[in-house]
Amino acid sequence: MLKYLVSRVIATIPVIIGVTVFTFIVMHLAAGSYVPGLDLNPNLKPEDEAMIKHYLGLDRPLYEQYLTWMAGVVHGDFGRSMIDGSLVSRHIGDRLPATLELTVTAILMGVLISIPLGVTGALRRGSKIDHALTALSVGGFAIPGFWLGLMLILIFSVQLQAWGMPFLPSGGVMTPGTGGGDPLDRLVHLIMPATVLSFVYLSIWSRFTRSSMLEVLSQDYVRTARAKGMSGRRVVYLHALRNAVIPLVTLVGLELPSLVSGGLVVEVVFSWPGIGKLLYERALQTDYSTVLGITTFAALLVVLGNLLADFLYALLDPRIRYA
Amino acid sequence: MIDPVIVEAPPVATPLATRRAIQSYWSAAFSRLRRNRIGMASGALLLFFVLVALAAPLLARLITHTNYSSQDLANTFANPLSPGHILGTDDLGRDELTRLLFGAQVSMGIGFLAVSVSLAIGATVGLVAGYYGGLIDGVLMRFVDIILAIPSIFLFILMSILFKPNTVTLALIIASVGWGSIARLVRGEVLSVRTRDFMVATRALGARDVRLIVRHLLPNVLHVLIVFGSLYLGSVILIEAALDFLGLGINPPIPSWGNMLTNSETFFFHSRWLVIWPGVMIFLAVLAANLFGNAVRDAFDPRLRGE
Amino acid sequence: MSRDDAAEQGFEQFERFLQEWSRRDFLKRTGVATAYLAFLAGGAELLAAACGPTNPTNTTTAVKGGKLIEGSISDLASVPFNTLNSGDTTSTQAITHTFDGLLGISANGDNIPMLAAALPTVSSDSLTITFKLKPNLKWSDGKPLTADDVAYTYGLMFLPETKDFISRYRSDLEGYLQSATATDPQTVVFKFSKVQASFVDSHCRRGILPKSVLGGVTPKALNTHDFFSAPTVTSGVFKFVRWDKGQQVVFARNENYWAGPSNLDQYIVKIVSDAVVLAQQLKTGELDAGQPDASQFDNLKTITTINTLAHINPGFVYYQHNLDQTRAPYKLFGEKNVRKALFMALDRTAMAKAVYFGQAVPANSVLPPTTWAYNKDVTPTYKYDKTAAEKLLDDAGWAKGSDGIRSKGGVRFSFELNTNSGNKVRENLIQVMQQQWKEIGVEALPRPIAFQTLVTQIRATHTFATLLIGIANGDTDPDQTTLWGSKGIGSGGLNGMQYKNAQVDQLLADALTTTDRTKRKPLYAQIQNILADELPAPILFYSNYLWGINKRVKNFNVGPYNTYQGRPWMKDVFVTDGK
Repeated sequence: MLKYLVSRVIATIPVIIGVTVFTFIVMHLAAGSYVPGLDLNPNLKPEDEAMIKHYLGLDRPLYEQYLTWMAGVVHGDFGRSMIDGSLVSRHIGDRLPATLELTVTAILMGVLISIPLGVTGALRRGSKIDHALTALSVGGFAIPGFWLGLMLILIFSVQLQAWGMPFLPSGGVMTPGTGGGDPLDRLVHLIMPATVLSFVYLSIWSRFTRSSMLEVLSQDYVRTARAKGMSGRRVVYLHALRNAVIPLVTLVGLELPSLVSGGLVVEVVFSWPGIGKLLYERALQTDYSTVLGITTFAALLVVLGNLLADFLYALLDPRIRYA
Repeated sequence: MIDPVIVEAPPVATPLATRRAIQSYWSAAFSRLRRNRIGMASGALLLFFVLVALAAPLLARLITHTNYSSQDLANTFANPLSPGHILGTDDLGRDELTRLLFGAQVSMGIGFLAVSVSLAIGATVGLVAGYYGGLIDGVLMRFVDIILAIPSIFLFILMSILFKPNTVTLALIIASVGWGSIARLVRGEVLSVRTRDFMVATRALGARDVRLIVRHLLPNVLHVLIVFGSLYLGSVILIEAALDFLGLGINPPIPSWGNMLTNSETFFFHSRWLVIWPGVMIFLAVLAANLFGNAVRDAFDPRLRGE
Repeated sequence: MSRDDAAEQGFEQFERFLQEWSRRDFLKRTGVATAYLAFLAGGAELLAAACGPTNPTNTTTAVKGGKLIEGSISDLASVPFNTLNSGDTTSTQAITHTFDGLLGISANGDNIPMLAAALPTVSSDSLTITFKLKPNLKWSDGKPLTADDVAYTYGLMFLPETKDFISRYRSDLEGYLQSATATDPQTVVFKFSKVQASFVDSHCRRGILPKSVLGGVTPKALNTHDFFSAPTVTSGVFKFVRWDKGQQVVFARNENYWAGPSNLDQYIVKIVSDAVVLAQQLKTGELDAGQPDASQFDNLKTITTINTLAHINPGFVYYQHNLDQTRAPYKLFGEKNVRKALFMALDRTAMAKAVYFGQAVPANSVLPPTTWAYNKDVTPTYKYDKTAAEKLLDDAGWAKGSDGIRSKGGVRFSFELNTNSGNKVRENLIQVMQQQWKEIGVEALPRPIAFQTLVTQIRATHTFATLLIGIANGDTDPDQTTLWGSKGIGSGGLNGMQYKNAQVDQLLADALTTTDRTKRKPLYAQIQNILADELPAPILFYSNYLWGINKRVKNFNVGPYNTYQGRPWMKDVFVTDGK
């Protein structure tokens, strides 16, 4: 197993280097001639410019600048904003919890809802319910997320309010000034964006659970259990469900890389103060360094996440463990 | 994001007798497709959108008598079925229906172009990597790993602010991320095919690499491309609409279903219809593409239906 | 009743609301129109009365306590509390609440004494200006605020030894202000080498900085000093508590404020993504006050918990042509008649109605009607006239090609039209302009760009062809050297057109040599006429500031010059529920 782990780590290193090289090159192409501070002080003289450049190390050879960038990344420093010089890592620290709150909730909702949906579809296969659920999942996948978000806001926030009825808030993570302590308040703010985000997961996973469940139900051991006289319900819950859900875990695992980036559109539509929204806002201001810093961070998370997944598989799969 | 695609390989292309087997594989697949009523219906709907996209200027001239940028500041937010505007007007008095027609051009055009380019690049990389193996394979696949490690939406936004896209460049931007998964799939297929006898035999006969790749490997991975492509189209349309909506894709005055929704929330109290039409269009187009894609996948690999 | 019936009823209610607001809306618009006309007739007082806030100024007893949350669509800039170098409205507004100046400004632009005991005495030769401070002024930490602080503050802006400290007002004061001395703890004397007519109106509201805190810091280090990001002492109505970047700025009552402690415990500026979200949050009550988007204004009027207010904005929206003779756009815009033709091809009345939802008026002069120097008889004026526009272009030799676009001497009349991205109104405007210019054979390609880039274009890069931007005026002084004078070209000004007119330069300079309004007014009238004829940067609209204020907020008396420039009434603001 050790050999396997080491080989996985070795395979990951070029990818990490590749990602950092990529972002470094893009940074230079996009903003190589940019001088920080020029926006704050338009009276900057050429001597001052040269001094700032030297201070920031912008006049050193490219490979040296790359190594500095790389070293920074290893230490968790993803650069500074071109607009106001703020640390990208601090932005990430500020905004990541909000994003995770949203994406993790969405994934949980997706799992918790697709399992019963998929199981129902499998158990009542061919029935009207099954057809309805299939239609729902196929349709759900085709709905543009931002449009669904817009419609929900317009219905549950704007229209309800216009009718004088209780309504959901249209954006943000909490009511301002409350400091975010009230869980009910946070829930009320979370429910619409999480629903929209989970929609896509729902459509795929419910279908998948359904077919996985069907496959399991037709397996010999299930038929055996049934023949032995176990009640249908017990069969389902004890054996089939457990085995049908395991492949779903794999699918969910595939979505983990999108924990950071997947919520971007929903964050923008619902003014959710997460990393995606930050990247979007900074992109509109052409703040390349922040955009690239966040991208590097997210990419590294993906790579490390994959590595972690490989380790876990190694632990779980005896074939590798004893190799 | 699409269902994981596991596709059954067609019978192997040996030089002689099994050519008929190949033909019967393809014709069997096509006849399965034809028999799938939902699939054919959605295929027809997809074709309808394509035709509308191609004929948009003509349709505009015949039906609405206006183009997508003529403004009528005195007649903003007109309701549907008002004179001269079957679906109403937007915030600058432009005809909604005309803009939807031209929006189809953007969605369909970028959709098909992005899918084609993705397939082309991905297939090439996958074929080369799978065929040559070794260092080339290693390098190419690491490259794919790098592309796939970067979250695609971030990458799109980044490239959008770098290149300020028009229709073609936006399609290329979307394609530049999509080819990764295809490359991996194709490579997987190639790996399973290339060790087979016929390949060894043909090599022994002295066939050149390119010939082998193109004439013998490619046909065997074609089904993967077809299935993936048809499933990918829906995703591309959604991604493109989202980018337009965010203001990072096609910008006004060129109408796209995505950018027609950008300000629709703002104008909700002035006209509720503006939020509805473009969203419905996107939904229908993606639905058609997805259903058709599912039908194609079912036709080429009936095992997956889970029956 | 079933759920459907309830929904139906709700819908009917909604329809009735729609009908009702259109009636109210008409009345409101007539009100604004009347007020505007009154203004044109020179009646500033009429405007304040006719278009004053719907919150009555004198109400029932003030309630102490509670907080006010105001919405803002932009965050503070970096080092926002640098009172001597503030370039954006959000930071200026924050300074208004924390650092008082010698004078403040009333809603219609009059000077009112703040730290000063009274308006200054000006010597007969206008070269000496003396201020007496109010007695017993204190900083928020209890230390006394004296003339030393004032002298120190102004010294940063003109003394040669403080040159390393960057202030955007240095170029204004250098060459004019000779000395700023504290003759006694309550008196400050400003001595000038040349008469600077705009000094009192333009420079006497600068927030005074504490010498005891900053005096020891070198001018260079002062530029990035932490005090300007988190002031430890203030002299204004509020103390600074904290700034959560991108989210909110929190202020609290300053118990040592010279005018007395504020009614409010806290004042919070909440940052929202755009003016539409702002309108939404006004409706939900998440915001107590803010400036909503014009498109939401009519709907806001129907909300029973909100008072709405529209008053004229002492600024304007205009577009600049790049008139640099060494660059390509000059071939297009170099001729006066061509610029006139472009201007006449725009149907500004229709644009005001459609794009501003009626909350703007076509402009006719480079000075807005809120200033005393406004020339109501400015000439020439321009009406929407496509035929005349086309004739002017034909006569100038621009012939229409087969694609409908004009060209002359091998040059196609095609150019890029920029404005700042993220501002929906402006983005819509350039699209409308594109369409209307297309109708006369001119091809404009709309392209929004980031605000920073736009400003840099105006100040330095100069590679643009035509750009659309808005000007907000901080004070009533009609001097516009930064906009039209040669001095305004480059990093200190806003003359992105690089327009150079010796006569205008002379008139601008002459108008600053006296404080006598009767002498200055005809000079400004002349400037307005010349610029109306030359049109280097035609003025499109005077727009309205729009406000939504929750009914629980009282005495929030915003006005044309009391939006961000100064809010002398802030201490009297209170919330009826005390929360």
